Amino acid sequence: MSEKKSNKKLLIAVSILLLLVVVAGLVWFFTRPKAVSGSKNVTVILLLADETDIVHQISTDAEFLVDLLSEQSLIPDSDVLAGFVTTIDGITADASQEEWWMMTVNGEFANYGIAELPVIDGDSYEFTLTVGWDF
Amino acid sequence: MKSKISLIDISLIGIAAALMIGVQLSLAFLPNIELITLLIILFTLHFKSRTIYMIYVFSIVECLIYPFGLWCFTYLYIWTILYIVVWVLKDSRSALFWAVIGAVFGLLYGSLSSIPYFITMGLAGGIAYIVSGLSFDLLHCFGNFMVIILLFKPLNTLLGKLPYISLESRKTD
Repeated sequence: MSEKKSNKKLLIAVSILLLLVVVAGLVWFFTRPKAVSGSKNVTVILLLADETDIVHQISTDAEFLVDLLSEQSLIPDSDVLAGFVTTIDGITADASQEEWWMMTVNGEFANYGIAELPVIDGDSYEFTLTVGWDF
Repeated sequence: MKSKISLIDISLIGIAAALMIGVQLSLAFLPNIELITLLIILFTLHFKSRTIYMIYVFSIVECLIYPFGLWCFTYLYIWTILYIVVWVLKDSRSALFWAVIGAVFGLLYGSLSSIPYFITMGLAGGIAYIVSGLSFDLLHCFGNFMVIILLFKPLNTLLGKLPYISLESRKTD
């Protein structure tokens, strides 16, 4: 392939990438969930497989759910890094038993993961230990 | 017939698919930092049409390992799209060029994988799926660029030195 043709291909690819990054960045910026600063009172509820509940009433300044769960030591650092809950309050979903934590906010499925979900005063964050991939 | 798959091909497909599964699992804890895009680019450049078999062995095993969901349908076409793009642009050996292609693919990954969601959740559900995943797509874009710019050249050189590849080159010359 000639160098001129190669450079043209590279230029086109870089232009497409830059255009897409700008468009995606702008859409993300204007649609991203907005953090709420200040003190909030929220509830974190664990619903276990034997139908028992563990309820945490929490006052926090955390802006996103991941920060709240981390500051309360409810999830391990590995889950903070991954943005995905496998262990909460010391209870681990056993993947070999097809267990996983289903997250809902005020009883509704969340549109975002814990890293992007803003903490809002009065909200309830439920984690239900769910069994079976076919849920 | 020349298109027949030899025993060497079957071994190569198995090893390459196992490598893809291994690196995917080992990096699974990092959201949207992956080596699969890089490996598919390299495999397509070196192993040509055998890459399609590698992709589908990898995809089927992934669907067996992880909880079955709409993402399994995505895996049936999304890596093949990358394979086709690389096949069309296969003349280039520039790390920067492939890093840019990988970055574009990473950025579009969420949009490309939204097709089953448009079908099952309608227009609004599909758009919501794309928009809610944009931050991950931007991270995927950056991650792919860095991974490919750093690893393409050494791995491309390494694959070029494989005895199997040399044998293939002699056969087709």
